[in-house]
Amino acid sequence: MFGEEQFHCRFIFTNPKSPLCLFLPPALILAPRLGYLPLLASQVKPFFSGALPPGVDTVWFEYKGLPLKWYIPIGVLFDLLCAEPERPWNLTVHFRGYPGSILTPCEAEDTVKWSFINSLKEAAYIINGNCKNIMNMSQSDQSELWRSVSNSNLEAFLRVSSKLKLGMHGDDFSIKLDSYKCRQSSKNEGEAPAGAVKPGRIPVRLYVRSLSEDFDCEGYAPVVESWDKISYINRPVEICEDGKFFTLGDALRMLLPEFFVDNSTTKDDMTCGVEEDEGRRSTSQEASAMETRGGDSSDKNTEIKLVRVQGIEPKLAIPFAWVVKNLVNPEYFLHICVYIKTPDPIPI
Amino acid sequence: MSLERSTIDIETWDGTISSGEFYVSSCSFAEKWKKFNSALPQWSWCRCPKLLGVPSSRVEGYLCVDGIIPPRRSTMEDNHECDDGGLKETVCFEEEEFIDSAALVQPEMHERCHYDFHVVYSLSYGVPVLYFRAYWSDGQPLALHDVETDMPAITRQELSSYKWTFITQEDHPYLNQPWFTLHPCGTSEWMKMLFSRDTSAMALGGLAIDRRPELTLLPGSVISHSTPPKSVISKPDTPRKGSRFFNSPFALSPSGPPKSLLTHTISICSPGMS
Repeated sequence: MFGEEQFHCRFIFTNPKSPLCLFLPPALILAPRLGYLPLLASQVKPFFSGALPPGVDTVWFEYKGLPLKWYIPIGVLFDLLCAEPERPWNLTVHFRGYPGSILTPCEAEDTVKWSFINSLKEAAYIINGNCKNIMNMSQSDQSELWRSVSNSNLEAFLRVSSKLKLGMHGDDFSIKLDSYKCRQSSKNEGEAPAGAVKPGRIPVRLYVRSLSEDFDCEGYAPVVESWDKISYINRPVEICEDGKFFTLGDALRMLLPEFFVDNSTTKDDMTCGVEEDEGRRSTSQEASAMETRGGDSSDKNTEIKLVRVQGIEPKLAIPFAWVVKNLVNPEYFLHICVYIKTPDPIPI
Repeated sequence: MSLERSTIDIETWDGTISSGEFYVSSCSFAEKWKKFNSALPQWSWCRCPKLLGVPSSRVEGYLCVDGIIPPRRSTMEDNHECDDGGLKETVCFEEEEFIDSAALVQPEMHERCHYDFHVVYSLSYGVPVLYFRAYWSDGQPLALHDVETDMPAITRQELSSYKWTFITQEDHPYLNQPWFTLHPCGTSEWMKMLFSRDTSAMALGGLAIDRRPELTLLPGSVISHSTPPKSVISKPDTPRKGSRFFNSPFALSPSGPPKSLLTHTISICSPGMS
């Protein structure tokens, strides 16, 4: 989870009012993919402090004109904003003019810490139905957990996070895998082990970016001009296993149903997806919804071009349980970046 | 959109609602608000353009009311509820006070603040979440310490103790801008409390009912066929509700109901009702 997954960030200081910027070399930093940009301020600020005019500094980061949301993990920002991975990732650091109408305030490390903990509570609520394990953490455990994240300390993180009992590191999915093997060997579909009966809800945050036809051209890297161009979907995925593996593709079909209209298994999975939100609906209603969606010609021109999780592009046939177990972020959310190609940009 | 579940077993209810129930409740709430508080700014359903990943059969949007002008709080009022008769009277009251003390008090102290309130459904928590923002008459946004001036003293106390988990600034789910939000992690526990049949719990939780009328009505209309405690239904809707309305979201303990209240609850939690 930590350590191996770092990548270069190249920070450029730009201050048109100061001629000193012409002589400042860029700062090269290895940034942890699972960390947060404001945590790099302690390295960036001293590096550029000589060029700063007197005044109060509020550090914020920008990529090609887009202010970067600090509460999104660094790796997710990179996966989402660099269609073609750019090495090093060139970021501009600002010390003045915080864009308060676009970015939420970030006072210090405490703001990032509590944003992380609130996300953790949300994930716990999704998985367990309550967040009591997080609320009941001792102060020392809470501090240790946050320190393990901010310092990219895998051993410390595993030690503290095991107390949270969020059931994603082994128990539930091991049971599911075991139950799968049992069913394979005994071929007894009717009898499900106790562990498999429990409905699994997975915290997922989806970032969907629309690209035009130009995406196919080599070397052309479109720029995100505004956060309004990105569709952010904060929505749990309910695992529906009926004797077969629940795949990453199945999860995406739940989250982005209009991109899978031609798949033969759409109806069954749609039933699972709709059930979660609005209870069971009549068959005719589903059928009419399917017809409507299938008949929409604009949907057929839109397709998923790319799916990225932690910088890799996994096959959609991969078991979702594996993706969750191995690629989840420290706050137990799976962050998925999706690029879709659409001739006419969908109004967001 | 039809509502599948007309009744809910309160004793096994976990305090959450589905997004469909949220929509039905929001429309019902807006209707009732219009009926009983027609002189006040109106709640309405704000429909959003079709988002990616949302089936087109669902009604996507949120409940909103814009431009609420609460009476500005003076020191003497900290210890009791405002009893203004309505916003119009409030406006007159403000102007009178401004005229009377113009020579003695700085003008900023009597500048009017405008509030927008949005209630958005949280897919993660399965509950409505209150988002709000505040701005001066000239459109400049209020900072959190300015917003605190409009809160009762007990809420400011809670806010200083639970700074990070009570009221925070987050991106509005639909508008992509920073808004203040009341953290939803304790909402489902509160909703269970509000509809508990346990009279002792209800007596202890009486304050909560008075202070959260706008959320009380949301699931209340959904479970109209069950038998909630009479104190909820019989509570009269008066224009005063408008002035009390603003104070309502902020007086709760951010970590959920106190444990002493929870011990009186006989409800059995089920994993999820949607």
